[in-house]
Formats: sequence, C-alpha cells, structure tokens
Amino acid sequence: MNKFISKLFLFILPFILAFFSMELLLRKIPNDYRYKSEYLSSNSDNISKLFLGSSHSYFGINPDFISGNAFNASHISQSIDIDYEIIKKYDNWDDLKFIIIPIDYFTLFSRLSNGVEYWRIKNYNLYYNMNLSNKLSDNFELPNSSLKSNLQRISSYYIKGNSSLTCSKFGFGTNYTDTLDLVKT
Amino acid sequence: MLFNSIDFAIFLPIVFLLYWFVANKKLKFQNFLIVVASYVFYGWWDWRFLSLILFSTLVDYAIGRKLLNEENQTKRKILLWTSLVVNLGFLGFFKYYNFFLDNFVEAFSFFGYPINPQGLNIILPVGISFYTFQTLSYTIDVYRKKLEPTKNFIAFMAFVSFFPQLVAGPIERATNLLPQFYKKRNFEYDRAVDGLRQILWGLFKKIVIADNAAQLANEIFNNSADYSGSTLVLGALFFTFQIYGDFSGYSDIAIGTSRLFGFNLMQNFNFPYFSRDIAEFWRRWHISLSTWFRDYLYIPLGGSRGSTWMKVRNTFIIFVVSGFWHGANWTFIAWGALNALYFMPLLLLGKNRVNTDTVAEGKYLPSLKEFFQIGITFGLTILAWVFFRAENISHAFTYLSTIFSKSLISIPHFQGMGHGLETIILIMIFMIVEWIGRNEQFAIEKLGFQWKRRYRYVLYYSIIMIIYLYGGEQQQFIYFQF
Repeated sequence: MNKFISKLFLFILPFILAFFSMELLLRKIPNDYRYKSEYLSSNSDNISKLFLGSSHSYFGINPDFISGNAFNASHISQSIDIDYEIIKKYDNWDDLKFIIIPIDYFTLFSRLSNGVEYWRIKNYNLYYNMNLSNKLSDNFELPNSSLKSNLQRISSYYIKGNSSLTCSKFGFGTNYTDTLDLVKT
Repeated sequence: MLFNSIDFAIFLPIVFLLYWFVANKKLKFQNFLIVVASYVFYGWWDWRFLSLILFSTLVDYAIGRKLLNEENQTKRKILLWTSLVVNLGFLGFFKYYNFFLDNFVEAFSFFGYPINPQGLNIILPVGISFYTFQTLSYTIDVYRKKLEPTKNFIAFMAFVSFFPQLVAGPIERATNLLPQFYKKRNFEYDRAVDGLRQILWGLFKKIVIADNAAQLANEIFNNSADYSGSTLVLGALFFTFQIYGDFSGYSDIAIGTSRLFGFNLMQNFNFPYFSRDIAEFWRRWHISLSTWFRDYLYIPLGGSRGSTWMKVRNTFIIFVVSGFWHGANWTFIAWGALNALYFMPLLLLGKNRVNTDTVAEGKYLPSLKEFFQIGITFGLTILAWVFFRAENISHAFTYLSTIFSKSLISIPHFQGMGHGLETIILIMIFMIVEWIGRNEQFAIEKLGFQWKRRYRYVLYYSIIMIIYLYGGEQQQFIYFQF
C-alpha cells in the first residue's frame, strides 16, 4: 500500500507542481476583473454614474466623455444578476446618482452561468471575491481555459512584457475587434 | 458527480485513503464507507433522489428475506411481482410517463377524440435504468434460487449503490458483485495499478475521443439541413465514436475505480467496432445489458428454442425492449428494431455464433475477408446510430435520405473543419491502439509491459498530456440520461 501511494505520488508530483505554479502565475497577471474590483473597493463612494452590463456597454460607453465621476464596471457577457451582485458587493455608494444597464431582448432570461461564456464565472469568484458557483473548477484559472491559451497568457505577460489589461482607467474596453460577436457576448 | 471533474478527483483519493487506512480493520466498516461514499457521490447531483435508491434497496432486501422462507410458489410469484412492479413502476413513472401520455394524446387525436391531459414536469433520476436492473437481478436470482438472499443489509446497500457503477453501469449481477461485499478486501498492488491504467484509458476515451467527436456530431446533426450527404456521413461517424468513447470510457473508469477498492466488475465493452457481424457486435457492445436481457427476458421467453417464428419474435422483442430501455423516444425503438433486422439473416441461417473468437488473433492485420466483414458491420452500425442520435424519426429519415442523395459524392465541409481533421487523426490513433490491445480487457492493459519503466512512464505521461492538450469541451456522459 505504502509503495503504491509513494509511487503514485511521485508520478503525479510533476503535474501537481506544474498545476500550482501555472495557477499562481496566471493569478498574478493583472486583468480587468481585478482592476475593476480594486477600483470599486477604493472609489465606490466617489462614483456618481456607474455603467454595468455586457460587451455592449463595455465597448460602447467611455466614461472619459461623461461628466462627473463615472466608471464602467461592465464585462464581456456580464448578465443582469451579476450587475446586481456588484452593486450589492460595494455598499458605500455615497455619491451614486445613476446606474446605467443595457436592456435588450435577452436581458431578463440570459445568464452568464448558463451561457457559452460560463468560463468567465471564475473571474468573479477569484477577483471580485464573490461566490457565484460552488463548482470547484470555478475557483481556479487553469481548468477554465485550454493549456494553449494559458501558456499564451503567461508568455505574453512574463516573457514578452505585454500589458494584460484591456480597459481604460475608467473601465472602458480598449481591445474591441470586429470579429467579436456582440450578440453573444 | 462526474468522473471527469475536479470534484471526483478530490473525492476519489479521500474515499480511497479512508477505505484502506481507516476502514480497513473490519469488513463492516469497508462496506459502510462504500455506502456513505456512494450516497454522497449520487447526492452530489440531486440528494432528493437518494430516497428512490434507498426505497428500492429496502423493498428488494425485504423481498429477498421473505423469499428465503417461502416455499409456496404462488406466494413466491407474488413477492417477485411486487419487486418488479415497484422497481419498474418507478422506472416507468420517471422515464416513460410523459412518453406514453403524449402518444395516447396523439392516438386519440388521430381517431378524432382530442384529449388534453396534464403532462408532468418530471426530472429523470440519473442512472435509474441501471440501478433498477441491478437490483432486479438480485430479486430474480433469489426467486430462481440461484442466489442465497443476503442477511447483510449494509452489504446489500453497498451492492445497490456501489458508486463506480451506480449511474451508468456496468449493470452488475448480484451473483458476481454481492458476494464480493462478504469478503474483506485486501489491498493488491498489481490490481490497483491495473485499475489506474484503466481509469487513464477511460479518461482518454471520454475526454479526447468522445468530447471532441461530440462537438462535431452536435454541429452536424443540429444543422443537418445545411450540409451535404458526405458531411452527414462524417457526422454519423463522429457520433459513432462519441457514443463508444463516452460509454466505454465510463465503463473503463468504473471498472478501474472498482479495482482500486478491491472489486472486479464485468467487462462491458470488448472492442465492438472490430466485429465481423452484427451478432458479434452485440456480444461485444454493452455486454452487461445484453446479457441481462438474455438471461432475464430472452431465455424466459423461450430463447432460441422452439419454432423459427418464436426465435424471430423473441429476437425482435429483446432488441426493441433494449432500444426502449435507452429512452422514451421512438428513435430508440427504431434503433432497436433496425438492429433486430440486421440480426435476422444471421439468425435464420444459423450463423449468429460464427465469430466468437478475437478477430485476426495472433496476427498484425485482418485478412481481406475479415477486413470487409468489419467494414460492412461498422457501416451498418453507423446507419443505426443515426436513429439513436436523431431528434425524432422524421429527422432520422431526412438525415439518411440526404446521405443517400447525389450530395454523397462531394467533399465534406462543415463549421469546424480544422477541429474535425484533428479529431479524425486522434480517432485513427485511438483505433490503432485499440487494435493492438484487442485481446485484453482494455486496450492499454498490457501495452508497454515489456518496456523499461521509464519508457512506460513516458507512455502514461504522453496520454495525460494528450488528454490535457486535446481534450474537448466537457460533455455530460450520454448514458446518464438512460
């Protein structure tokens, strides 16, 4: 028995080490979710206009062109239930005057949790510190993307030194490409 | 809980360590731990349906005990029928209620008496067809006096709910599995390593073959009206490997997991796609279900004894019931009936037991004759799978009519061609490994046994890397819905 366990442990050790080192590296890469979460933690009491929602507002509303303290806290495929979670999460909205959310045909019945972009749930669990799902894999970076894409992220940030943030200071999406399907996201 | 989930990757080592380090002192503890682990495993999906398993367990245990002391044949029959009614009643209600209702409504409407009864919004309990058949095998064998009814309730609970094979088989016979719960299991290194190897191969089949093929089969079947006959052939081919990889992969993981706990389950798939005729295919595909139907339905109906008419009737019954077991849809019945039709020429010519050995045993390649036999059987199987996968009968016929149209002679093209080519290469590699290992219980059982350990490790690491690199999008196991 001991022989079995020790051999098995040695066999899977490289995978365990690789898993946790990659997980650590991925989590250290700055991303929009962490940025917006931290921004809201320290500035929610100053925000007067808050934009929530999916890619429609993420790529469609630039707070730079709006007077007052405006912030765009939308993310790709963010559904209305998560908009609500964000509002609940930060309870010090002292100056908040307007919350702008995009409404379309799908708004009231589509959810991130049951759509094709489900893998993004982990971002809310990990960086907004929410508990949107009890699935264990939704609390890790690694299982939610292919190995290829994870390796690309690591090499792009750590080796090539590319910025991994895709939003402006006030949360406006800056990496829009016309291949992105705005209907689905 | 899915075998290919992180939840199971954590659950299994915990149960394994508790089983061998904490509960290893006494048989009772080992069995009790299996019951608890099995209920957690099942309850992870929906704890409410644990009551169904518990109720079936209680009923069959009690009936088994009653049968022990009952010699009056009429009373014995009543007891057996009680078990059949309770177990098949649950199965019928949860699985077939709405099917029968819809068909009654249609039949009444057809004869000019429209009715509008209320359908029920019923959730199908995962694995109900599997554990129902397993527990029925116990009562029937006790009734037939082939098996001594158990006094050990915990062992019986463990037999009914044994988590590796609870939700998708293999459907174990009480005569094989139940006695294994009476004996204390001792850890055997070789058996455990063998189990891990089988789990690894099962994961490869499920994650690499089935999940990739599923994405492509879904694309083609769901948009079949947009594609040519040649593309639809590819779609059917992808589904053929999806269902094999999915179900035999599940069985491999189940059998491998059982080995880790010191149990031997029956082989459920024996390289069916290398069959030389359809009778051989059915001896190699979902063996635990085919033999269940053989022993508890076909033989009681008279089997192959009696007149030709009787043989034909019994064969049709067993195939149609087997199809219906898979789901409450006419497509499954059509699939079963089509397989019965395939089987008929062999039955009528008395050639249904010609190919009972391993194909091309001791040779690298099959003979030309065997090659054609395998090709024809495989082709017929693919056509039958169209009915199994189609949304309804009309979809199946439209699909097949497009296949047999002029557009069959065209270059296949569909959304995700690159992924399709990659999957075809993976399937080819998979089939080569399967061919090499066709004499074993599972393809990699003996692969690399003569190699040095480091090369063997390279093989295992390579399979793990392929699983990780080429794994498709996670899909539900197909047989969970049956």
